[in-house]
Amino acid sequence: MRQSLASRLMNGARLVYISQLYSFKIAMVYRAQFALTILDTFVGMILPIAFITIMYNVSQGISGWSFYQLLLLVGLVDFATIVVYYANPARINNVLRLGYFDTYLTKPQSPILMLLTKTEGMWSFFFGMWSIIVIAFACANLSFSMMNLAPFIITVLGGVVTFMLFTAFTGIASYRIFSQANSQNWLMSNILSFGQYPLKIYGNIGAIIFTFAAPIALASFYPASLLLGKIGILYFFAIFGLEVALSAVFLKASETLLKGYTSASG
Amino acid sequence: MFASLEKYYGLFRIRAKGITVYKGDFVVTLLLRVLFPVLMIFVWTAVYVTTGTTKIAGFSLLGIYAYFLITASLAPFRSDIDDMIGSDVLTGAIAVFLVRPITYLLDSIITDLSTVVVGFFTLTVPILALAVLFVPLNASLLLFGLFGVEAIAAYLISMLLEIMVGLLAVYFTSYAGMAAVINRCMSFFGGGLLPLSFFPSQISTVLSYLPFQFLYYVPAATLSGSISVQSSLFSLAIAAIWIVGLFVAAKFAWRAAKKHINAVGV
Repeated sequence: MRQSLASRLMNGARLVYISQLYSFKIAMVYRAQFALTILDTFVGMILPIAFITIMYNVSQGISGWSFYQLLLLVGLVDFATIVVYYANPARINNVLRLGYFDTYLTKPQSPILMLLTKTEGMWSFFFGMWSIIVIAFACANLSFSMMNLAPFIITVLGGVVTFMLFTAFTGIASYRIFSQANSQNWLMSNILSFGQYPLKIYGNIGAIIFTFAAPIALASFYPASLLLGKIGILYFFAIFGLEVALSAVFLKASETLLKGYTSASG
Repeated sequence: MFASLEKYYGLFRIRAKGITVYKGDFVVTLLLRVLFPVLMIFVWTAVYVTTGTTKIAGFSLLGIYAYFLITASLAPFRSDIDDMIGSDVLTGAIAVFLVRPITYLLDSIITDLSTVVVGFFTLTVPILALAVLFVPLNASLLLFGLFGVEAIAAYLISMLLEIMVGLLAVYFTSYAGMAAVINRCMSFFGGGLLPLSFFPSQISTVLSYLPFQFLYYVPAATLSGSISVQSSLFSLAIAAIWIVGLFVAAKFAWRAAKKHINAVGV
């Protein structure tokens, strides 16, 4: 009997929760490594902040964007970074290449959900934690209308989901194209770096690329612009609609590409 | 003696061929190396042009372009020997090398060198050619010569530091987090993300006593003409002292680590 949507969502949420709890317990077996992971995520978060601090110390920064506005962008990109650990392209490529995906096909849950949740959530958790602190600190030093807060949160979450599905699509596409895809993680890291700065500095072509092709701007620039009142609130509907549309496109493309999966058992 | 050199040359050739086995991934990795300087060009163009700035800490806009292209060309000179050593210690593969008629560290250095040589021809030369043609980088043969010597010094310093980082795996069950933190800091304090002259003067002064400046800042500042030939020669002398000191430290670290290595059969 086909499960209801609510039931499937509950099962999916339960799977994510158990996967992450398990990965935390595994990670805490090595306590020193656990502590160093927290330190690593902290250093990874602090270096871009140190960069923009020095930039605004030696210059006037980027015209039209204050230090705290840029800090908000950095925090949002750090929040989006958590998806790279879930939808790790190199890991997805390895899972597909080495045949581990066969076991996901026999489970009652969606194979793509299994692909995204079977990962080490520890890094994601701590990156998410640091990023929320940075976003909160930046917002505390910025003035904005409280009416923009709800659209901001919705577009951030929507943008993160869109970027996660894009990242998963990249991993699955790399399976079809490359024998080894360690460079894909690096590609994601570079795209995230581009998302830390206002879209206008990349020109029209850059804006199109980071909005539609590699949609990090949906998770950082557009939500920040909504919150800060740099674009009108009516743009919220266009941005959210784009996030939903692109998410559907990347999900459908991922499912289509997975049809070309060759089982390791022949 | 020649037979001994021949076996190392044979190893070097095998390792160099192994780097290009996955051609698609190799080409994508090369292209990705260029993305960070491209990002910095966009960011600093926005800072200089939109705020009407002509010079920041002695760097003009073209000087900044040259700086980031040159630091990107130095990427192959960052040693990955810590990953190799750490992986060999954790998997126990190091035990095999301890009973072979080949020095383990020398074998690792040769493997690492093969990456440097391949990277020099596929990355350093093309990026420097881009810099000369498009920035344009007007450097004399003397400056290119100095840059070449400083790049070799950068590799030696990086390799010796990374050997000690890699040997941490002997003492810590999982050293990856610590290695990641150290490597991020080396890049940042070595001028990989920003010229060291952009840092506040107190921090700049402290960094001038550390070896990290030779990884990126000194070679890039020499070739871009940001520091004088006399300063470059003085820096080379300091680098030589650091190389001798780090060589002694690495030798002691290896001797101490050998006593603590635990592997099957050792």
